[in-house]
Amino acid sequence: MPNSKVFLLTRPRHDALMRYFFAWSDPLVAMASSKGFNVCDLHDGKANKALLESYIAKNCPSLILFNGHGTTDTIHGDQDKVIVDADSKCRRSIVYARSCSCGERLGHDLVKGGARTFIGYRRDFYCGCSYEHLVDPKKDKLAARFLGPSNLIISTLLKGGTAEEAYQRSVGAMHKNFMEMISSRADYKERYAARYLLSNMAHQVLLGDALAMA
Amino acid sequence: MPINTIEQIVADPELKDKLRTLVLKRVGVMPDDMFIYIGGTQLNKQQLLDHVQEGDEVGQQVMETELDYLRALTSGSIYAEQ
Repeated sequence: MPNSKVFLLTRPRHDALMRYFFAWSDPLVAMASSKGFNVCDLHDGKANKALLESYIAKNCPSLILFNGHGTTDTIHGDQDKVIVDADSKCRRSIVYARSCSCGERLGHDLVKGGARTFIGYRRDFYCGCSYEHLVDPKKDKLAARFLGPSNLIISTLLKGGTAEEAYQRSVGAMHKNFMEMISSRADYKERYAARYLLSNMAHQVLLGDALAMA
Repeated sequence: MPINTIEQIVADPELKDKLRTLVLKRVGVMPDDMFIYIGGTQLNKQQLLDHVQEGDEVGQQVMETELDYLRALTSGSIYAEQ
C-alpha cells in the first residue's frame, strides 16, 4: 500500500519547456510540504529510471507527478531518456503525467500494472509561451493559461480532493481560461493560443479509480 | 456520408487543399513574439507554417487543432460546456 503522505515528482530542465514545467512545479512542492507530505523531488539528473524505480519501491508514493516529454508508450526524464514505460510499476499511486500523448496507451498500461489512477493527455500537451519570459517562466501569463489548470490537478489532490474532483477542476479552469482568451478582454497572443488550450481540454483523460485520494 | 475526421479530410485531395489553405491563413496571423510547444518541440509561426505546408505529422496536428477549434466555436458546443 502507498504511504499516505508521499508526493513524488520528476522535473528535468534540460530544455526550455522543461524549465517551464520545473518552475511551475515549485508551488506544488511547497504546497505538498505545507500539507504534511514527504516530497521526493527527482529534479534535473535525478529524473532517471533507476532512481525513480528505487524511490517508488522504497517510498510507495500516494501521488506522482511526471513532468517530461512523452509518447503514447513512454514518459521521459533528464536528457529525454525514457523513465516510464508499459512495464513500469507505480504501485497504488495516483499518477498525473504532464507529458504528451501518454493518456492514449501508457496510462492504461500503468493502471493495469497497479497504478490506482492515471490523469494525462491522449494527444500532445500544448503550451503557449512568450519569448520575453523564457528566462523567468513563472511570469509568463500566456503559459499560466496552460500550466495553471494543469497544476490544479496536483493541488486539488494535495488538498484531499478525489481524482475526479482534480480532473474536473482542471477542465473547468481550462474552460474558464479558454472563454477569457477568446473574449475581447484578452490580448492578441491569448486569443491566438486559445485553440491549443482547447485541445488540452479535449484530450485530458482520467483512467482508473476516479474516487482515489492522495 | 458526413466527413468528420481529419483523416477523412486529408484523404480527399480537394478538401485537404482547402483546409491547408485555410489553416495557413490562420497560422499566418499568429503573433511573432510567442511560440507553441508541440510534441516537445518549440515552434514559432514560420516553423508552424512550414509544417502545415509540408503536410507532415505536426502539420496535420495543427490542421486538426484548427478544425476542432472552428467546429467548437461554430457549433456552440464550447459555450454549453461546464
